[in-house]
Amino acid sequence: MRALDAELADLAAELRRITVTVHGQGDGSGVIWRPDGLIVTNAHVVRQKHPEVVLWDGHALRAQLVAWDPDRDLAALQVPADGLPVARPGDVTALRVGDLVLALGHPLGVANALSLGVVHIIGSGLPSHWIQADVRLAPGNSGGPLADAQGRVIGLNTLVAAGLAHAVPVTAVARFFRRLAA
Amino acid sequence: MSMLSTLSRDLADAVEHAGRSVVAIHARRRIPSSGVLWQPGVIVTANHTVQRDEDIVVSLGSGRPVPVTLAGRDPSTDLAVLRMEGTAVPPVERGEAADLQAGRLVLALGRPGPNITASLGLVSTVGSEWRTWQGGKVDRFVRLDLAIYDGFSGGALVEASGKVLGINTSGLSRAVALMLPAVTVDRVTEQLLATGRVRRGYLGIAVQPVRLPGGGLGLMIVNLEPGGTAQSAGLLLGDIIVGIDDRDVGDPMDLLATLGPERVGQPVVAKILRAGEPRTVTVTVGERTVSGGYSRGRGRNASARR
Amino acid sequence: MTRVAVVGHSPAIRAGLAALLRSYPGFVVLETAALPGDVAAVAESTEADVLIVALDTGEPWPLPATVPPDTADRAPGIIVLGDEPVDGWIARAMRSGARAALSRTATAEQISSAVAAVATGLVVLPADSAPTMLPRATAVVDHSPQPLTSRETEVLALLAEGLGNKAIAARCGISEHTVKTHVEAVFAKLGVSTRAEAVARAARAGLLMF
Repeated sequence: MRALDAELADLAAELRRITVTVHGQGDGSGVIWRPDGLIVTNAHVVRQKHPEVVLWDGHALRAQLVAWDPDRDLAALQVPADGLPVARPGDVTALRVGDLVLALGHPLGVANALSLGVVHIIGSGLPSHWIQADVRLAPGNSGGPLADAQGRVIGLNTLVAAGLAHAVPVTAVARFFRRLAA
Repeated sequence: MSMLSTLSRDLADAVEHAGRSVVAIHARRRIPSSGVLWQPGVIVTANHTVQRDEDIVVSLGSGRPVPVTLAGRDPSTDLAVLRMEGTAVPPVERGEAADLQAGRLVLALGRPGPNITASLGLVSTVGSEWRTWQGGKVDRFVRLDLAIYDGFSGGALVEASGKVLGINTSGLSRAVALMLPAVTVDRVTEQLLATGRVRRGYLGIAVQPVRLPGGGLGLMIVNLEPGGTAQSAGLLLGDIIVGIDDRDVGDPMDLLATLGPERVGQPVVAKILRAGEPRTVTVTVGERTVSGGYSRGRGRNASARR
Repeated sequence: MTRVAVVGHSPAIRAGLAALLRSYPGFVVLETAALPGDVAAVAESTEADVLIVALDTGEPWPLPATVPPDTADRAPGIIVLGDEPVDGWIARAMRSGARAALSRTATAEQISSAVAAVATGLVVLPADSAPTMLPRATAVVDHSPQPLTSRETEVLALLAEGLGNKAIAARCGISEHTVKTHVEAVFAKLGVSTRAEAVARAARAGLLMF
């Protein structure tokens, strides 16, 4: 049990370092995508062109909204920074029902809360742009990371529906950023 | 590999393994309900999710739906049993009763459509034998700490190695996730396969709890069914039942506990007070006609049979 | 005229009671008899309408355990006078066929009232012993449910069998919507909000058969 606890603690610590708080109208979360301060979050979390972003160490920075896609509910923010820890993307196609997932965020104002669950459903006939998990989310979790058992980010927590957490798969985030660069 | 990765792999393996025995049952409008291949050709599910008696089909994954027949229902434990021809679907691998422990990590599996679903949780409490609100006997009280979602009821509760511990249901208690342990499912399934129903004892009395002169409670007979076994045994309105065989009775649930399927046709000794005077009366337990089905036009309520 | 007989251990008590009774114009004292003796035999042979049995502390119970039913009509109404507290022996007296049980320290007025009442076929008990004697028919539920209509009773019985609304509708040949209305009415009348509570409350109110 101690070893498992320790692993969870390490994972939580890593996820905390790559997660930011986004202050807009209410609070949400975001995930650091690039060491130079490119951050991904949900479009519905960002209400202003220059929201305040707070890093894991408490450092507050003024961000610039660089992309906003309400259809995919993704947004990109740029903060002036360098050498930031970044999310390691996981393999979404290797996910199976029952695989452990962890969500980190700031639900209801509680900082860095970790929630454990499993991938709930995968398969044909489902909207392929969601990962559904039975982690417990609350509004402040939006834009925060959904990670696998190795701490790799497999999705961005976006909403709760029918008691399940829905995350935008990291593959969709990658596509979103590729379009940005183009 | 890290412990978390190992656990993750074990859990996903458990879903894959046990998921082969979890089927979708099409017996109501909107979303299908979950069912479990309990024995070869026998599917167990939550009774409240089976909302018709005929034209029920079952599917696994994107396979062709297979027609099944309703073998029987037991509303008192919220279980129903369906018969399926063929052996395309393997029955579940069963866990040990000893695996049922508080704190155990478990997965609730369901199939409310073509895909298998899973929810992670813990066994929250394992208590002793209890009676449902209709007097059904459940061998252990098992409460789960996990999210109830579509497809939960009738699905399988599985431990980390993929073995099935019981059937999940939300139909016995509002908003509390409960599980019927395998031993209970076995017992009810056997009766439903044999006779299509779970026999319930019936005496033909209505009672009210009253305070006894010396303290404690008894059940006063306030209605007596003509032709019922209680009336035939000579029980009268106003008689206060204080005990049945070795058991004190002060609440209708105590009475129900003495009217299990094994008592039908058997004599029981009722200890009563009649005008303050203690007496004993031997009554043969009759049988309640169990309905619970959806057939039309019967319109009559329970009646006693000797 | 009410004819009274007195049996008792103590001659003084017997005499005292006889004197008391004679002071009332409507009573005639037929005889007094000593205990121990066969009270049952006295009761069977006496012409009295009322028989007062005056008990002494520590003396054996002189009455038969139960009164044979076919002599009940002809037998005199028995009044037992005994120790305080009456609760200690009142049940036994009633099982013996007594129609009144009073303390030996009862007033003249209480005794004469008891004689007159028993002679007319009534049962007389001290007010504070009555609760001990009568089964307290107060139900344990805190209020009696309002009466259900016959359709509501039918729906309640099916609900108690575990049927869902749809099944109840099929069985009764009514719409599911109508069933819902009946179920809501049943819940309201029983003062509950779930099926489980409804069944428990109805069972305790004597509305369900077992």
